[in-house]
Amino acid sequence: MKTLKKILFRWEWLLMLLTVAVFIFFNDLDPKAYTLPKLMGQTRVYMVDVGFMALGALLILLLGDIDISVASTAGLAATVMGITYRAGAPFAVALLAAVAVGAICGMINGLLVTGFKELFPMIITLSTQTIYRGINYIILKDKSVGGFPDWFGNLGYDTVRDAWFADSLPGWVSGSPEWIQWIYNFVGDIPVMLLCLLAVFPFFYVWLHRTPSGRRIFATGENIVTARYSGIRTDRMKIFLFTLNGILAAVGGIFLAARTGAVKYTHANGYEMQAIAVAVLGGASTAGGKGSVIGILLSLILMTCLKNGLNIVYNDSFIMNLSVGALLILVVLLPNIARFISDYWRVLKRKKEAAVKASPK
Amino acid sequence: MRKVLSLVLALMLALGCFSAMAEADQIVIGVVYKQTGNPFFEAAVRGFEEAAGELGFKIIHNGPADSSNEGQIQIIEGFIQSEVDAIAVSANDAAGLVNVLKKAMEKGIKVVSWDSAVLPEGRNLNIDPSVAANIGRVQVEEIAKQIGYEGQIAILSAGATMDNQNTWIEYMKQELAKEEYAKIELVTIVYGDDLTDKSYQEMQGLIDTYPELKGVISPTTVGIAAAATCIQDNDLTGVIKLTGLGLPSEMAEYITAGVCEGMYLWNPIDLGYCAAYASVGMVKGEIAGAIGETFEAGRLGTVEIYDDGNGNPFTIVGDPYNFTAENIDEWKNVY
Repeated sequence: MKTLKKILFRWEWLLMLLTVAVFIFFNDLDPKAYTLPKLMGQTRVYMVDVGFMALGALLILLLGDIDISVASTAGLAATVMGITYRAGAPFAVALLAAVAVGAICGMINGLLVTGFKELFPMIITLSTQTIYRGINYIILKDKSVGGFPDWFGNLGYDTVRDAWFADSLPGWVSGSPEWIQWIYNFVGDIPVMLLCLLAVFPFFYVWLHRTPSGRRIFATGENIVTARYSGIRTDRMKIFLFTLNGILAAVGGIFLAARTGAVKYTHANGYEMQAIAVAVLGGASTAGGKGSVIGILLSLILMTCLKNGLNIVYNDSFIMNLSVGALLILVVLLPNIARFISDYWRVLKRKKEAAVKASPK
Repeated sequence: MRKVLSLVLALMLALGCFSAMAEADQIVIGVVYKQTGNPFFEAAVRGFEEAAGELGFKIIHNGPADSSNEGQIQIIEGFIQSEVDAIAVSANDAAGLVNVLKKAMEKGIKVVSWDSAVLPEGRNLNIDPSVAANIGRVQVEEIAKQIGYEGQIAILSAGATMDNQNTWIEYMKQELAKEEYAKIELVTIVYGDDLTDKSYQEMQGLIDTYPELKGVISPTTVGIAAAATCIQDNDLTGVIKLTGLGLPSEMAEYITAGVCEGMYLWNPIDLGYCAAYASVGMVKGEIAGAIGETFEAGRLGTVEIYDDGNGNPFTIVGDPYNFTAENIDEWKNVY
């Protein structure tokens, strides 16, 4: 009974329910543009670059820390990628350089957070945020750097069909039943970028939820003192996770650069809040020790459905931001509201019972 | 739980009633500007709407809340998704929109950039409000006249990567190199990012850092208004002169008060109007957007498409207009 209740009251169900509701709602409003294949194409815009950063944000939130420098890290990494490539290095080297910059930025955050425990991680990463962005400005000034290889620009837009499928329907598909054709077309609509993001999810799921090293992160976030007493090297773990967070930010920045085609010093500005919002909507708690990889994926899908729908139906950025903010606060408050209502009912019920008992026959 | 959910759904449904659906076969033009809530772009949209009323097409318009490149890409992707016929865009970053606009053009969507150009490979046609060289020159002439051809001046610009501001500033520097401006020294260029508070702070910084400062050029509507407020707050009216590109409605009180003796702007309504006619002309196939072609742009008459010097087609709406205490009253209610 208890396990059934546990399965039924999972946060993930709520996210799925909301996603379906949002999809039906917007599909009804704009059936021509808001379709499943088109929505999948839009995952490039709303899901991929934020997704990598949200996974990073999950790692840090699990620890009970917060990192608001990821967007600046992503920007700096993309800038280094640009100037390395412009300087004549092969593109693979430029990509490695970007990832290395992400790792370094993340590690600096980790070292500072573990080295100065009396300071809030929020304050530390607030300073590194401006520092990384500042370095970015010193490198680029008012110029933007671009001219990447064609395949990189295509990565930002191509679907599986563009990248690998033949121009016309192959014989084995056109001769097959309709549902196979449907699957073929559906797979063809998946953006290559989305595949890249989805490829890392199983890894994170197994690591965080199914291995001892992943559970240690939860334990540390739950109670760092007990974790330390039980033999977990919490500082080392934190430095590692912050470094990994930096790498994920860099990867997000690279994918964003594939879409923009040019990097300027404001690259990825504001993405740190989107990443944290996705993680929190996905069930991560800022108090640490709570969150799930599946939750991140579902919350990314929900955000894509909602933001894209608002974008094409209302064409007003303020309405979009406002609605996403409202949804976030509502969803985060929901468990509290539910608890409040159930407490209220219980009190009411008890009062009634007491009244019945007290009433004279 | 269910109650709350149904409430959310009801709320969203209520919001949904306000949105209008496009009719089939009607030409739809997607207008993208640098940011929402900027009166300049609101005026430009009025120009698009005026043309839409005359030609019978539909416009949808949007801009990012934070004047970011990423936000504009998101909006353009949405327009492609909605299958608009043409996209008319004022770009926050000339290079950063090329990839997405190329994809739009591959899908048969006509792309016109107006106000702030996209790199040539990402557009079919560019519409300039005026020639950049003239825009730079008139502002230098104005500030020189105001400060008596002598003293320190500074430039308060928009974003450091904003292309049109940077081009004008280049022309300002060229103009300042001339002999009659030998006694004028350009001390610095600061960037207010087209945000009122940041522009105000940058202006305050200029006042504090350069006590000898005589004049400021702000080639952006947000910057000049913030600078005017800052000069007034510091009680420096008449001590530090101000010119640049400003909206008459926002600047009227400062022009009347003498904070800003004269400023320039072209007409954003005409700009949007002209961009709309060009877009529709290309969608209907009446023009290809090639150099040497002409098209009828309603009340603006015949407009010609020129070569920008590098073989890229562009067209001009008109010359910048000088606003002073004498004429500001006629214009302050227009835009």
